[in-house]
Amino acid sequence: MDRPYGKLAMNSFQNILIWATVAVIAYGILGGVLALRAIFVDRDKSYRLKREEFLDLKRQAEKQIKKRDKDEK
Amino acid sequence: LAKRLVRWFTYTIFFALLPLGISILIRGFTGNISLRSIANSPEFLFFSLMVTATALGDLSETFRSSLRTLTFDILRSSLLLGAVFSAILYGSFIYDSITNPEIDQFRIQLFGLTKWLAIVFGIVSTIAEAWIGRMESSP
Repeated sequence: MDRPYGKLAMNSFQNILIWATVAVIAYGILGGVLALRAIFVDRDKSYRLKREEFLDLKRQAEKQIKKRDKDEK
Repeated sequence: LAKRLVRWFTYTIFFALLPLGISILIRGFTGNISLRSIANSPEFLFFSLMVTATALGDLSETFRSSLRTLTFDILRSSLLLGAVFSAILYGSFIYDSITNPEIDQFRIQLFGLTKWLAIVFGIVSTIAEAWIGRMESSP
């Protein structure tokens, strides 16, 4: 016995499966791109921030040393 | 980072590719190698399932609340969806090979999709491992 409705359902199941998998692949690509950005861009940003923080602390320490030397004199 | 990536390629990628390699080798020995015969084997789905599951395990192992960013959430959910879809496609593959053993049109269409799923999630899982390695090496 022919089952056209069953065949139709199977075809739409195949289409849903294919498009859902394509969407998952696209989402995976998005995740990969974001992770690459986190590896290369955000790391540089945090490095720059840490360096600025370090230079600021260094400047403060130098100022304090100069002040202490002046007081000792 | 280098240590983690070497371990990743040696133990995960190599061992995940082993069933596919052996299957192609044996088909080559028996003179039965063709695109159709490769499309009729589910090793690509095993590969994507294995790499996504291992990367997910490593991500949850190195999870710290300070790492909980949007990137982390998107990466973890995409790997989870990749693993789930590999399992779903494997189920569809088995169902089709049981109900239609002679007509392999659906399995060949599926192969067109599974090879991209395997390639994309192989690359994304490797990027995830590199990210974990970077996080581990940063203070």
